[in-house]
Amino acid sequence: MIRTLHLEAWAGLWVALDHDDRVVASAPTVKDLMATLDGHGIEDVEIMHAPDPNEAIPYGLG
Amino acid sequence: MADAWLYNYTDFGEGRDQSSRPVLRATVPVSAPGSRRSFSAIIDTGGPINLVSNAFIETATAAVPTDERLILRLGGRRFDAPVATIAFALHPPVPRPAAPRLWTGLAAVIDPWPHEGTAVIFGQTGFLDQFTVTFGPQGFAVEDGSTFAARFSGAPGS
Repeated sequence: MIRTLHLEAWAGLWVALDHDDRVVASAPTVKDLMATLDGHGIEDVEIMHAPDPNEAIPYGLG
Repeated sequence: MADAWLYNYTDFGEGRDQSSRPVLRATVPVSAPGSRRSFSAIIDTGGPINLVSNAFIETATAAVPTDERLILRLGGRRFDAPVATIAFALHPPVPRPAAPRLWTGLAAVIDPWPHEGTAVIFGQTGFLDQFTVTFGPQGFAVEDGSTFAARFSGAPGS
């Protein structure tokens, strides 16, 4: 059971996903994303950062 | 939360250009109580306390500062982080129609947030002291904190 996300098109951006894991809004910062969500009255989303597939993988302590 | 909530591991696509092996994260959706916008939060069993970004704090109307501060290293940087008491709402796995599980826990507030990926990291104080979390190859389960003692008839070492 793996939830595989396809966020390559939004690499480096903060994104809001609906219950079907579709990106419904994106922005460079969380603050900007929240403003976009407010502006469009978008609710029922999960917010996360879309990684760059080429970036180092965060690991462990500190 | 009368029964276990079963979550999938999440593959955000980290390292996808480097390896065919997915990077799996144990994440759960969390928000401030009453909010319908959740943040993806990583469960870090090695983390001593919950960490939240200012972005999350700005949605948490019930955050109450404490007198405590913690010196932490995160993302290669050193932080002198204030600790706050925060009300959280854990959302069930989609599409489970259950009410969020509410609790209040401590969290260190990190600014600027150095991590890409999520705006919340759940650690021992503030999350793992509230819930029983069971990790398996196919996914993980979150249950009430009392489940551990009931299931194993006592504390470790007993």
